[in-house]
Amino acid sequence: MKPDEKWRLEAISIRSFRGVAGEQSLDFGGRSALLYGNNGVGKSTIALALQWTLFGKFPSGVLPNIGFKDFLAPVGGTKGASSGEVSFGRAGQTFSIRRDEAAGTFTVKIGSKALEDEEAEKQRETVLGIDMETFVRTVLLHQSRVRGLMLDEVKDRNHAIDMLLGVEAAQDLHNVLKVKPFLDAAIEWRGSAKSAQENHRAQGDLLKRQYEHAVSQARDSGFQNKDLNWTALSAHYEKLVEAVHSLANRHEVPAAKLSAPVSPTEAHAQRFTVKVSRELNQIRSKAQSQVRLVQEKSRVQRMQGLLGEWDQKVNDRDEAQKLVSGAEAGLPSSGSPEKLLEDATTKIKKQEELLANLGLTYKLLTDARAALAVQRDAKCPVCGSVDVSHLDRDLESRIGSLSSGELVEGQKLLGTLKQYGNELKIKLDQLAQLKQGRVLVQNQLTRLSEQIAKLLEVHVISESKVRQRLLEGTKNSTAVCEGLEKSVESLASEIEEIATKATNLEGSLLTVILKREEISRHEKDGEKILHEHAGSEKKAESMEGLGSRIERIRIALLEAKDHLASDRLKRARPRSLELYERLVRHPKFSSFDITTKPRAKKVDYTFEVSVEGNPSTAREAKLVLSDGQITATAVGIFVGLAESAAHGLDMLFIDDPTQNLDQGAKEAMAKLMVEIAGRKQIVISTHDEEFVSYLREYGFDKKASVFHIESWNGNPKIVSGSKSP
Amino acid sequence: MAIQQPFPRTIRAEVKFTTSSSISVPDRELAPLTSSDPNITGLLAALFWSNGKNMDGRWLVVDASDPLVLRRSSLTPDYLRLTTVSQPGLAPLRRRIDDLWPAFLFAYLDTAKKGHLALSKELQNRHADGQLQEPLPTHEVLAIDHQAAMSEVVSHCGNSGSGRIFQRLFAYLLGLAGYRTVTVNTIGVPDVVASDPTQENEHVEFQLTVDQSRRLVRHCRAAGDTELASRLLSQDRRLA
Repeated sequence: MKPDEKWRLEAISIRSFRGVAGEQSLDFGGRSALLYGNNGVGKSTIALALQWTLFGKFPSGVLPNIGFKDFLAPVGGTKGASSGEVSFGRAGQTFSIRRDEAAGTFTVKIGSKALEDEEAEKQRETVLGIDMETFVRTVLLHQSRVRGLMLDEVKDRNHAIDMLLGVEAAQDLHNVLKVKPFLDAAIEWRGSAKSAQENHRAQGDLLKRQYEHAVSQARDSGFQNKDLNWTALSAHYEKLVEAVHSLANRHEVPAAKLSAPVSPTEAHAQRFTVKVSRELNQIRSKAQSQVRLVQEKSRVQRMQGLLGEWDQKVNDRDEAQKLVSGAEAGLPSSGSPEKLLEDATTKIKKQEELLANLGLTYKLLTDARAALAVQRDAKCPVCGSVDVSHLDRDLESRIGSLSSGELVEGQKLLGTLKQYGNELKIKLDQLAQLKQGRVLVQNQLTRLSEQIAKLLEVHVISESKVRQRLLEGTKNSTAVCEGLEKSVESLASEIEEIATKATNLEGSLLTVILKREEISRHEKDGEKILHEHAGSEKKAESMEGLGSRIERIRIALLEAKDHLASDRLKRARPRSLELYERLVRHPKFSSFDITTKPRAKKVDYTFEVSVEGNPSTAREAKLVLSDGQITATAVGIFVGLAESAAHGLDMLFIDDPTQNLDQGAKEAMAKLMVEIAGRKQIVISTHDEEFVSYLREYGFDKKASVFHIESWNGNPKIVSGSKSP
Repeated sequence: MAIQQPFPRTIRAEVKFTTSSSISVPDRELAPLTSSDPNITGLLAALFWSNGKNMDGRWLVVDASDPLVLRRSSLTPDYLRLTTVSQPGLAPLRRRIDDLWPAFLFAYLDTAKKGHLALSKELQNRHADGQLQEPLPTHEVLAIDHQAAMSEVVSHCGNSGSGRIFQRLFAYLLGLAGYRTVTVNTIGVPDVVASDPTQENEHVEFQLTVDQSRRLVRHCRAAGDTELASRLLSQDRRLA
């Protein structure tokens, strides 16, 4: 758009508005203007009236804690209906805008065409190509926006830059949009399930503790993490069944049909454990090693018994032999005992016969003597001799000899013989008995030997080998027993191991599995709770979805703000830098820059000065520049922004541009204003006489209307310049 | 039946594990994840293990190029979960990761406890041989199992060591999910690059009744396909 195609301010008329109690009109005629006068004479009212008439509102921050109508009301008079009328002109065209608070109307007129309200709003934007935000950013520089750059708080300074760049709305909107209410709403929706979930969680905690205890016990029993599930337990059960069957096979016990539990229930597990126990008892009692051990032990006992018996019998037999030998030794050595007894008997018989003969002889002799005595005179019966005296003598001698010698001796001898005979007979009887006893013992020994042979499974054993064989047999059997005992011990150990495993599977691992089942059910219950509250959950998710969208919008707003601010700064930068050099004239920091610094929830700015743009020399502007220098920099930025903006107005309205400026800066500022006035309508509002002098010195008044507002008495008292009729 | 969106063709992932309540991902780590190539998706995969919160032990996988991620210097589990709500395109991959992760961690827990070198070797070899799924348990992995496994890794390997372990596990979790090529950058960024997903691993959704599903499980078992049976069982607890 060429300059002559842009609109300039022709005139403004104000009624019952802020510093104007009655009515005030100013005629600019499309020229630049200077409004000067002391503080409080109503200079700013004109800028505000221009803004209000055009847009009917003010940017945020202009009306802190003040009602709109109160703000509009005249300061020095009674409340009345505010109204304003502004006219712009270009190349012979006029565009008039009127706002009437009392009537509640907004009217525009271009040529003969008049429009109201919404149509008027549209027409204004179409014709001027500007909205309030752009107007404030690129046409109207208020001192308040400059002041913000000097504030101590970074947040406030950032906000001031926001305003200067016209991006505060994005930040404001970002601040207004809150995710938390949506998340809170989600929490509230989920609150319906909260009680049930808390109960569920408490149960879960209890189950967890129980489970951990069970797991701890299972680990103590040697189970690992990988065992703590039904699949693993099932596999353990299968292995246990295999182990039992293998054990039965190895120990030659017919295996009963044993099968692993098919599901993790206590009843199944208990039945299984009982079956395993029963089966193990069977194996224990019927294992071949056990049976053979019993047999072999019995055999050892038997052999040991036989050995003792054998030794006893052999001893008995030897004793009997000794007795026999002793008895035999007591017998005469000549001849056999039988012969001796026979001889003795014969001798006794002969002696008895001899004695009998001697007795007969004696009787004969005595009878002869008796007969001789009776028949003394008679002749000798033997010899017939009459004289038998010699017979008497002989008889007597013979009788005497017989009775005192031969017969006695004979009887003595017979007695001796009989005694000897008796003794011999006794001895022989005893010998016979001993021999009989010895035979008996020997027979027993023989039978025992046969038993032993049978036990040792040999056909026959010589007596001399019996003991040795028995000892060898016992030794061998004992060795066999030891082997079997080891086997039985091993069996017992295996049985114990399997029984322990079965007990552990049921007592430890199954407990874990059952607890897992319980937890699994509990977890499913948790899902049921969610399912039962699905409606609320859906609402909660919906709220979260909205929250997420809001967050995305918030981020988009910040990005937009960042991009917009960066873009505006970039476009304004060359001119702003030039003006910084001209207005600030800093002896060291010849350059400045404002850059955006995106953060999570905001966009910060770095406002730094540097030596010829060298980043290593960069310092924060607030710490280096004076308030005046910052003001000058801000004006430079504003002009840079204003000149790089595209809209239909060819004007600037600058309020109090020299605040805090020193003399040199004021002079530079005046030069700048004059320069701008050469190509653009610029309206300057100031109370600064020195600045006004500089403006005049550099010929501003030749290019502009000058309104000196001398005083205020409810209305500005303008003593020079042009006033609309 | 509906065929879901396939997995991203190539994934560049930054993997984060923390025992604190938030993670920070510097721009220098996020930048290499993004690409103008539409076939490349940059992911931030975060695993939290702090105070037994809801999202503890679950992978939170978000598109790293999302402004919701890029703009935040600190990311909490709740925030990441909120982010996933607005990234439905990654839902199939997330579901797959959610499905596989507890069993995957359970399967490789013992190896993980031997250290990241042993774990890397085993995962790499198994992935090369197409046997990553072999050690996966056929039984149900309960939430309590998963918590215990997480806890065990952290207590055994320490915070920093656990980070390396979980980084590798995540990489090959993608391998298990169907990515034929998996690269783990021990030092550089991105942490993980996974590409070339198998077509077989694209999800196909069926609508079956519980009864029909149970019959399908029985048929799988009868046919000896216990892996598929277990997989079906894990889809819905009502089938157990």
